[in-house]
Formats: sequence, structure tokens, C-alpha cells
Amino acid sequence: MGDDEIISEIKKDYIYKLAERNTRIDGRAFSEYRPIRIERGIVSTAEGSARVKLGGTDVIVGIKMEIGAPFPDTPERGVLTTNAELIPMASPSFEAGPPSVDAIEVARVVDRGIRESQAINLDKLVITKGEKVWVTFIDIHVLDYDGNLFDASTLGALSAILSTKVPASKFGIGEDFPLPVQHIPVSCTFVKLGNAVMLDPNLDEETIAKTRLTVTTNEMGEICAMQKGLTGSFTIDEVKAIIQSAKTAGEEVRKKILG
Amino acid sequence: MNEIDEKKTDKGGNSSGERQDERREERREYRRDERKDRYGGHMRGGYKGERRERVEKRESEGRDEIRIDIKDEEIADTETVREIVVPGDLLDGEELRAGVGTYKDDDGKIYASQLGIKNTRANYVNVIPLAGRYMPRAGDSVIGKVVDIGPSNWLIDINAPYPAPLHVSETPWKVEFGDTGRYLGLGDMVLIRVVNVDETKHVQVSMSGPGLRKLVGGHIIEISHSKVPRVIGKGGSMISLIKKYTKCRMFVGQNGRIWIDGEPEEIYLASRAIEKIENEAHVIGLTDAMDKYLSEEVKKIRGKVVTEEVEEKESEEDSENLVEEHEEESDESGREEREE
Amino acid sequence: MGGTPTDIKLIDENGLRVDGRRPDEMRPIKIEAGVLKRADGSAYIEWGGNKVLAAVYGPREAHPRHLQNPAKAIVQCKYNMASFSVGERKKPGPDRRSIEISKVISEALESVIFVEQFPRTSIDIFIEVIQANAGTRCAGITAASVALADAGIPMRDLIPAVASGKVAGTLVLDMNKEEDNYGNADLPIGIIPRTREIVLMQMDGNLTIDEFNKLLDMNISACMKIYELQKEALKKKYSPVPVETPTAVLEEKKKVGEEKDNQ
Repeated sequence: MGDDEIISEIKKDYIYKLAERNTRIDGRAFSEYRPIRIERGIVSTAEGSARVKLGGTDVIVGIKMEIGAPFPDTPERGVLTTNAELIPMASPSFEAGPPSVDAIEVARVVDRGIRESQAINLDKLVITKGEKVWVTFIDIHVLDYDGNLFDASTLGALSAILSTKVPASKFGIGEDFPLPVQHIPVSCTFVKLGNAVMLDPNLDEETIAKTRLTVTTNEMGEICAMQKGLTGSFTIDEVKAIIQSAKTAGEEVRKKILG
Repeated sequence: MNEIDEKKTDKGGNSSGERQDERREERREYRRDERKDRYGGHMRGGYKGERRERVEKRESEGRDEIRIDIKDEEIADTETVREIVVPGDLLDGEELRAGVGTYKDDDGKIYASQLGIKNTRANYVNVIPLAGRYMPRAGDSVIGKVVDIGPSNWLIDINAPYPAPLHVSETPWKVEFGDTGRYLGLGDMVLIRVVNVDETKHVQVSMSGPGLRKLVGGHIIEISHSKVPRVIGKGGSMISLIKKYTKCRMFVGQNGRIWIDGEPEEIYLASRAIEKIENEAHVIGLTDAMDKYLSEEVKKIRGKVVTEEVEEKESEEDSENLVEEHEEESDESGREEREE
Repeated sequence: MGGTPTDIKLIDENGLRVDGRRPDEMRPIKIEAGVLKRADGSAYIEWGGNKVLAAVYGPREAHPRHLQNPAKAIVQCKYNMASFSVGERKKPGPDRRSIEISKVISEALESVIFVEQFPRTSIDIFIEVIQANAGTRCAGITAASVALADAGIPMRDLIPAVASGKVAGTLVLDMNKEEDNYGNADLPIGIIPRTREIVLMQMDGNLTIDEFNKLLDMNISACMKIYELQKEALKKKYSPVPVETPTAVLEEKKKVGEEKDNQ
């Protein structure tokens, strides 16, 4: 992703120079996250919600539940759909209008992580088999963009899901119950700058990077989703090292979500 | 790239030998010249301590509004209690005249137009803005970024609402038509001077002049331009403090961009120090607090890094000259006087 | 806009409203300035059950170029409601209501901004409703004014706004969602506090001229109170004790604090 703005050569050189000395522009280690702050249940009109601040990146995720028809090929499962809005206030490079390719990629990567890990037990969200099921809308709203929307959004989505109550009483079909969550996927995004691979890129690092890899793991250390982005490449060893890092870093972040 | 870059460069990013001498000469010439007319009848310096006034016609209502060049010292002086005002606050009834950040309404009274600090000087009332984008003024030294290249000019982003085209004739090079890319590329950072801003806000800049050049090496950070006087400090006191401890070469552009060069740990410390100043600009006793902060942080660094005698003679002189430039600027507001 | 009889008792025997307020009482309001990192100016407002974020970019080069005005800045406001901000999920993207509100707010704000100081530029204002409970356009423009001042945009004054209306025959100030749904009139008004000039006004429903005049007075005096909150939010940001510091300098903040105590 990165900003459309042209980055200064001096800053680029400086970041690369620091990378050669194993440091980053904000003093972090290569495998270190920026400070993470999670607030849950902040939007009362949503069935579940959370606000995540990852360094300067600020994301609100709202969960809305509605009743609808299931997909024809999965008549006994609830429906899950994820959308991301990169609203113009978050960055001078975000334009108003329908979701950009970046917004769509963020939404799909977050969705994949949640869906493939079966974080939400969709089997428990059927009302009438083949006719009526619960539809879970995950709406990601980026308020401030300072790098790494993938991780901030996945974090936000998980935190929101964990605070969600299915509003059965609103539709007169029983009592409210917590959204059935059975796994906690966490995404970890890395970028490559020269030969250095860094976790949780800030805006500058993301703008300069040529290659990016997001790895989503669950609490058992299994890989549920991956996404390689940008125009560069990774070696096989780099990929393996990143997966190991993702497992470790993911575990730390998971503690924050649950803690 | 261009000839200048092909010359041998030392750690500080200066070109060696002759070019250094040339620049030192130029700088001395410049200081001598400063009292002479430079840009078609405009004067700079020579009236130390006096107010400079600028009359601007307010297009829409045809009112005369007198703008005052606020001395950087006053902005840097936050050691006293200040009154913060917001747009619409009444500043004065009758006696004073409307200065910066204010407007005079139909009822004849003066009100604040921006969020800032109320300031009364001579018989003007001003509001020193605490926020707002940088608006270029003739005489400002700024750090710009090349964002587009044309056959006979480059487009420079100076962190203002208006882009600044830099024409080849305003550089020390002899650039052939269409050859501009060889001298400055996209993303290059340049130290330039604002030559002129007309009524429609078209900005003219120049890279011809002592010290003006493409910047090489080091790091660039950006702060709110309204905090620049605080980072420079009274008579250059704050910036000298940072340089003293971090041994970095620095240049603070009026547009809020700051170039820092030195060892990585020291650059990092300097940028953290500047960030701290930006966030605590309104704190009383900040200069002393920064002194303490910097000396403690430097102890941590010097503890683990073998002290390199960074300063070759050339770099040292260069640093000094930049400091002097800043001191001058603080005293004389770093602005050119213009009669309109 | 309703008017149909419901089970909800909008005004009870003591003349109190659904949420216990008196007819001329506003909901609690909290405003914070400078809450976003990228935007030039920003503000966050919690107003009863409303949560609204406003951000300003500018003045900046106007794009596309054909929109540029050689004599002044153009003011473009975009009001948007997040899909989760309302009871029934709203599809993302502007609808006709949002577009109309955007226009009305743009025009109101333009009346106080010194646009001729920035020819050929654009001042972009974004209002995002995170949680809605009636009165979002008033909360929006109230927050947007603070965001504009936070961005250092020169203005004549801030613009506070509030809506009043008629509920079960009683004139009330600052309706919440139920009152708005089942009330008989809705009148949002935004003013220039110093001169009491009206820069934003819409009305729908049914009012006699006498009722309108009473509501007008109610709105205006409420706006003056909101104005004080707007000013406070801006001044608070620059109060002697730093309100929010980035984590990089958090340890230093403690040190400086200790020194101040010793001074």
C-alpha cells in the first residue's frame, strides 16, 4: 500500500542505512510491534465493536448482525462478510468513493484469516436450515493511517467479535447470546527493506518497501491465511523465518486481545 | 547524476576541497551584501531591533490590514503566562490595530481569526497561530522536495498549500533544455529560498545563493511550522543546545522541515529532542528541561558508543556558519522586507 | 418524521422526557480537539448517544484542477455515516441524505472561513458518524468548527449548532432518536455566536410562527452554551499540562513533571 506521496531520497537512504545496523527509524527492533491499544464495545449501535490503535494507525471495527438467506452451497452455515472503508480523513492519499483496490485487499485478507481459521462457529448461526441464518457484517473503518492496516484491522475485527452479542431478542427469536468464537487468529505483517525483514511497518517503511508478507496464525500455531504483496520477492528461507516470527509475535498479540 | 555529486564527498556530505572554499567565500560575500539591495529594491538587515511593516490590501472588503513580522524571539519566549484565544474572541475595542491572525469586523473591533496566543506589540494586537499550514513568504529559507520534473524546471513541494516551481535559471548549474533530470530527481531534498509570492499566491523559489543546495545524507523530519521558532529558540539557543549535545549538523527550514546529519544514534536523539520540543512547546522552563534531557540521553549513548572525533575542520566550520545563519534569522525574523 | 401515536410516552405527567430531561435541557456533550495524527486538524464529539469524528485537510491544492477558484479556497465537506452507526446496518457509501447534509454544512462553514486568503486551494472537511442518535448534523458541524480551528484555518468565529422541535405538542430542545422519530417538527440551527447570525437552518414538520420563534430562541441560547464547550476543547489542548504525549516521550514527561513540581 503505502502513500502515493513521493518519499524523500534522504529518508529512504536513512531507513536503509539504519536497517543495515539492525535498527529502525523509531528505534524498534525488527520483530517488535508498535504500542497497541484496544478498546472494546465502544459503539452501542453495533452488536460488537472495538477500536485499535497500532502506533499511529487507528481503526474502528463494528459488527452488525442481520437475518438473511444462507449461500446456496452452505445451507447450514451462517453468512460472514467483511468490508473495509479507507475513509479520506485517514490519509491525504485516500480518496472518497467506492472501495479502492487497497481497501478490498485489506477486507479480503482480514476475512480470510477469520473465515479459514473458523474463528466464528458459523454452524451455530443457523435459524432455519436452508432459509434463515445470521449474517455477520464485519465493517472496518480506518480513521488514521500510519502503516500496517492488515494487522490493525484483524486485531480490531477479533476484538470486536469477542465483544459481540447476537441480537436474537431484537428479532423476537429468543434471547441474546454471545457470538460463538472458537479460534483466535492473529495476522502479522512483515516488509522487506534491502535484506532486512521487519514486523509491523510504519508508514515510511511501508511506503519504501518493495515486498510484504502477511501471515495469519491461530492459537495452535497453525497457519490460516497468507498474503504476499507488492512487487518484490522473498527467498524461501525468508518466508520460513517470517512464519516462525509470525507464530511468536502472534502469540504475544493474542495475549493482548484476550487480556 | 550531476557534476557536483560526482565529486568526492566526506562523511558530512560536503564536497571536498575547492567547492568548500567557494562556499565560504560566498557566505562572507553574502553577509556583506545583506545590507545592499538584492531583490529589486528590497532591503534586509540594517535595521536591527526595528519593526517591519507590511501593508496588504484585503481584497474582499478593501480594508487596509497591517501585518507585523513577529520576531521569532517573541514566539520562542514562552517563559511567561500566555493567553490562548480562539477564532471569534474579542481582542481589543478601540486603541490597537489589527495584526497577524486577527481581523477587524464591521463594528470596528478586532477579533482573533486563528487559534493562538494573544500578543500586543507597539500598537498592534496579534495572534501568534499555534497551528496552520506553512504559507511561504519572500526571504524564507525552506527545505523542499522535488515532486515533478519538467524540461526547464522542477516542481518543489515546500509543505505549503502551493507548489513552488524551481526554474533552471535559479540554480548554479547550466542545465540544457530537457536535461533537468540529471541534476535533480524525484524525491531529492533541496535547501532553497523563497524569492517572491504574488497576490495570487504563485511562489517563486531559488537555489542560487550561499548555502543553498541539494541536501545529501542525514535525515529529514517534519514538524509543525508554527513550532519552528521554538526549536530555534531565542537567539538560536535551543538549536545550539541540541547541536552541542548531539554533535549533529542541522538546518531548520521555515516550513517545518529539519535536516539532521551525524551518527545514527545522535540523529535519533536529535529527532526525539525536537519531537519533545514540539509537544511541550507551551511548557514553561523548557530550555532547562531540554538541557537536562539531552545531557542524560547523551550519557547513555556515549557510554556504549566509541566517541568518534567526527568533526573534520570543514564540517565544523560548516556547522558554525549554519548556527550563525540561524542567530541572524532569529534576530531579524529571517524575512525580507517588502513594501507593497 | 412521525406523529403517529405510539406506546412511548414522550412527555410524562411531570413534563419530563423519555430520558428524564426537561424540555429545554440538552444532552451531555464532550468535545476533544486534535485527536488524529495525519489530518491537519481534527475533533471528536460525544453528544448524548452520538459519537462523531471530524477532520480537516487544507488548505491544499484543489484537485481536480477545474474545481480550483483563482480568487479563493473552495470548501468541501463530506458527511458520512459508518455502516454500524445505526440500528439497522447502513450500506457503505453516500446516500442522498448524506449528500444534502454535506452541502448544507459546507455552505455554513464557508460563511465564516476567510477563503480569499487561499486562492486556488481546497479546504476539505470530513465528518464521520461512528454512532448515531439524532442530531448528527449539528454534532457534525460543531465538531467540524473545532477541527477547522485546530487546523489553524482563519475563521470569523466557530459555529455551534443544535436542533429543537416539537414532541407530543411540547416544544423541546435537542431531540434524541425516539423523539426525532415520533416528533412533529425538527429544526436544526447553526449560528455565528458573536453576531447571532444564522448560517445553517433546516426545518421539517409542522410549526406555527409563534412556535418557531420560541424554538429559535431556545436554539440560540443553547448554541451559546455549546460555543463555550467548543472554545474550552481548543484551549484545553494547549493548557500547561500536556494532555497527550506520544509514547516515545512518555518517560520524559514524568521527569519534566517532577522538575516543575520542584520549581
